Amino acid sequence: MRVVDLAIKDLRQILRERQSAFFLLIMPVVFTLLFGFAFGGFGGGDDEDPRLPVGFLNQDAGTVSEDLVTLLAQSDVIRLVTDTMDVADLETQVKDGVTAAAVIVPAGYGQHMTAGELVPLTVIVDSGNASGITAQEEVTAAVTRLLSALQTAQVGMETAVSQNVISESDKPAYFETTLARAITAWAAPPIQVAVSQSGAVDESGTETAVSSDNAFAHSSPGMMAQFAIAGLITAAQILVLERKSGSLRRLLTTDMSRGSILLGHYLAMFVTILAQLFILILFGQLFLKLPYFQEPAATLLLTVASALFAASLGLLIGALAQSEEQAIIFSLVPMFVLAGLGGAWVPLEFTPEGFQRIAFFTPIAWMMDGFKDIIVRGLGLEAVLLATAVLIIYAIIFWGLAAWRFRFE
Amino acid sequence: MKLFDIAFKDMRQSLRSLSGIMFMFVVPVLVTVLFYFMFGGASADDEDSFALPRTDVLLVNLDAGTLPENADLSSEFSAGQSAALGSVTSMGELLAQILQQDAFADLLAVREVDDATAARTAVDNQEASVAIIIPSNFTDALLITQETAVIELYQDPTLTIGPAIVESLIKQFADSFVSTKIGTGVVIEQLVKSGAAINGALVEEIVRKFTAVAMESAQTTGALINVQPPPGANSEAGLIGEILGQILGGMMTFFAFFTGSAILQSILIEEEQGTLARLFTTPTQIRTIIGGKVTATFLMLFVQVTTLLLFGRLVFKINWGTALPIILAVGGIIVMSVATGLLLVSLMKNTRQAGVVYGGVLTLTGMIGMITIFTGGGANTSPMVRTVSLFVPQGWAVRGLQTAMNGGTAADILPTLAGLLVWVVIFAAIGQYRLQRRFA
Amino acid sequence: MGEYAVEVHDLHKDFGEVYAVKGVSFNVQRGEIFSLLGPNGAGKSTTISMLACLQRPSQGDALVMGHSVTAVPQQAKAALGIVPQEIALYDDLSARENLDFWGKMYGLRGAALQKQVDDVLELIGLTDRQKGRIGKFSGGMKRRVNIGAALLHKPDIIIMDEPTVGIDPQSRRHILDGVKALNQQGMTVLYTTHYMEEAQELSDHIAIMDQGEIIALGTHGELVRIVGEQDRIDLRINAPSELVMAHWQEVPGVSQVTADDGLISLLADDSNVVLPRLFEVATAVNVRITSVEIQEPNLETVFLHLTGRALRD
Repeated sequence: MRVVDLAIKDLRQILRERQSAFFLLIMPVVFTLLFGFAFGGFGGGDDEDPRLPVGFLNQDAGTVSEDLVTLLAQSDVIRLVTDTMDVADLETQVKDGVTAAAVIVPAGYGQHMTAGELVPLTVIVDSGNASGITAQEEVTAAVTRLLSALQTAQVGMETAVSQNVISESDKPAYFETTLARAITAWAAPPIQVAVSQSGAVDESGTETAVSSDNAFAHSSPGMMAQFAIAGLITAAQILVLERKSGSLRRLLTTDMSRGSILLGHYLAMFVTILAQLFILILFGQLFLKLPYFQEPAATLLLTVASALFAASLGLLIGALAQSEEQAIIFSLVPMFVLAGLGGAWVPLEFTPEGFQRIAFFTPIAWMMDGFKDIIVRGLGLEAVLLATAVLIIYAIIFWGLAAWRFRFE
Repeated sequence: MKLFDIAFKDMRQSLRSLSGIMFMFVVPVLVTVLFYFMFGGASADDEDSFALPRTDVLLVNLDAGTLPENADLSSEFSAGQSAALGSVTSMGELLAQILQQDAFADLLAVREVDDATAARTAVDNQEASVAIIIPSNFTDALLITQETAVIELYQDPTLTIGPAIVESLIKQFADSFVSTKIGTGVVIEQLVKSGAAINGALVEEIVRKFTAVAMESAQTTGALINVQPPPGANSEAGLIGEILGQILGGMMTFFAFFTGSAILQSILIEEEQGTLARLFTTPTQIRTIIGGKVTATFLMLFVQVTTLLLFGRLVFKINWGTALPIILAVGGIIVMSVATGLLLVSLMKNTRQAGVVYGGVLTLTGMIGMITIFTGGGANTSPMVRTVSLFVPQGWAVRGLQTAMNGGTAADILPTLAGLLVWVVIFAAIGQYRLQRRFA
Repeated sequence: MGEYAVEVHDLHKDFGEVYAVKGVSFNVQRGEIFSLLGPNGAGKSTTISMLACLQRPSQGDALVMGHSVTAVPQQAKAALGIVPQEIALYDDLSARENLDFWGKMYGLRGAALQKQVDDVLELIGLTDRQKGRIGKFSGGMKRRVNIGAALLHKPDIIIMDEPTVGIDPQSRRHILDGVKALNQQGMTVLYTTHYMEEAQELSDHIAIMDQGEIIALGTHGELVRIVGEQDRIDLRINAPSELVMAHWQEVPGVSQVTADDGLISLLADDSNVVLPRLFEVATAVNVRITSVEIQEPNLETVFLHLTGRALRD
């Protein structure tokens, strides 16, 4: 069949260009790893404490500041870094982003707090920084608990005196004991919060999907989506070259119909992107431990739909570009815009509602959502049907535009 | 000066080319605007706040306990908060009312449902982000000594930030709810240890004391910590300003390198068009021709970078830092872009390779160089990522810019500039040598 | 400074084993039109490239207005205006912007430059279209700007390398007339072509080049006299040319029988005597002559006489 022959010719040209492998495979793998590591990949770090580092300098002495350390250490959000003794260094660390914040306990803190005089802790934090705000919240929570414990010790001591169970001289010791007891009590408060995740557990009770803490769960589908577009550069250039060199006109002198010619080029792009996505999925499954094969049917369906969409965009780029340079621009600009808008870089949950609504006008957002349904939510075929349908509709729209705008001459 | 004649001719040509304008101005601005909307710049009421997306919350209140009629809840809340609450019969109901207060309307969209299973199913079906399930013994856990309760948060696994906000809020309220219980419990326990006799009147008095203390401290909240920005921190622009500054700065650097290569690439275009050979028939030397193109690149980069800096300053109120550091940092970006362009063009055989250079080399190295920006540049950026970014020239350029934007002084930037200049000298020397030899 | 605008002494150019130019020498007098005539690949363009200082001679030297192209190329270049064979202009700049730029490259500035650009636009007949971008111009218009760009600095010598290749007859006429007009204003013209008629029409002196060497040099009259009073006869027959060529070669008064694509050319001392014999021979071998054309001696004849090959496209 001539459509297939044309597609094979295109594929041969695509594979012959050394840049193809670069765009199709090397770049997406590098970026998946890079983004994964950057956002703390490998399941939150096997050997590294994933909690935010917070500089800590104790200029005070005594039990109160130690109690504060105990409370801060209970946090599963921050961890204290106590190796710096110099305020200027602490400031530099925060400024350079080495630590999320720095806490300085001023001299006399314990004494004043015990006496019921509130003395603020100094917290050096850049409020323009999300991790800084988180650390600040956590420090505030710990100080609130410390204050509560101090109040408990105060009330306890006063009551004990009024009940005549201790003498005036016993007061400091009684205060200390009560405080220590209160601090311990805060380690296991009567009301606790437990977090569990939807979809991550199947009937047998074993975890089937990865947690969203695994940064690759976002970067793998994200970069797959982005580079499915970048991968079209070579294919689109081949179309441009075909027009420029006159081979397209020559093709028209054969009895091959215009539709068949388009279909042949489309087929080559589809096969290219499909192969690209399969290799990247295999990479995700084998090396990043993302459960793409958990639901093989769902993954297959979504991948085919994604390739159908991406290839139709490639056909449109090839139809519109008049020069090889334009083919690059027409590929890179939609890559940047669609990937950014569709949430391939920054997860859409970080963006406001309005933005999210716009995002779902892009096929990338649907592609991401579909793959996350499989690998993060652990859902199956049924869950990706909508995403598949939307991607196919996009494929049809781009095909229509390409066929309409394609200049054969 | 022929050098400037060639420079102005090249500038004129690049300003007339669609791709030149696209990569120099349109795309960086487009991406910045995209991020502006991405971080809710348009929807935020005041420009300084970081508009978080609203989280859809389903609330299931299974609390079966009842509060004693004379329960005084004022200790748990500041006066303003308690005044806003109606009368409630259980702590679960109280928590439900608090979460639905106007104060949280920007963060949470709360719907109450009766059935926990239905709520979980709704989260499974992505109809809501989090389900908060208040257990049946919630009130009891606060009233009865040994009783403990667990509030369940059931969240969509693909989400992180929304559920984290809900968790933080719930924990705060849980803390404030339990502080009287913990305090009273500890006080009584210690009194018993010391041999005091406990009776109802005493317990009531202890609770009253806690209430008094809590009321007192409620007046002084805010003094618990004293927040200080690190010296030179960018507090003027606020979070969105800072993020946009980082993004626009990154995009500016990223595309400055495109500009550098694109304009210098004109030497290859001229070779292919025959105008280069014609230039050699005029009394013009190869040094002058390369010099003219380098000058054009410098000038265009100056125009590009100045335009983008002004755009950021005027439209998004981005604080780029003080004059001298930012001039040094931007100078570094420009020089580095030119040197990289020279090197790349000297390695290219013809303009057909432009695709690899733009789409491949410059995109790859540019994104590696910008990786610290993608990760927010904060403490959650691992040191490895910072190191990786310094393997490419863009990483050094971005580092200088970040130092300036973080309020660094000229002295702070000098080490980065020194590192950058090493790249520049090597790249420019190789590029210049290869081009001279090729066309001489 | 001598009487010559260009003096070429024993120019050689080799590319490794391949010799493109093998010892070319000629002089171009001031104010004349000098043509290098020869088939494609004869070494014309390489010779021109060396004069334009684009390629260094492997051996020999040339003086342009007394300046050596090897020793002081910048001075030599300043005296030359080169019109490249291919159009070498910036498509995305207008005609005026192009001329303005090239003028500057020849060192013109300010009012003098603007006046020259105006004059050249007038000369090439594009004053009305000066703001149009070159990319949108027709082939002929581009050619005119291509020539104009070499005239801005009023060079002593203009070198035109096959300026009429691949263009329509009307534009060709325009260019040839232009060359004559420039020459009448006192400009020395060095012109390369493989069209015999152009060399014949324009030139004061013609050098015929073949395979890297000059095989004949002189005025048109001098060159034609090389072949004496010989006529050239072109014939077509209704059979393969080999059938008659050997026989015709035997005919007294006939020299240089060549065949190219069915057209048989021969040189004859007197066509009145030779022609009847040719018909007799043809009849003897049962071949019919289908057309005959007799030409007065011209450069084509000279080339045929010297090389045994026809000077054709």
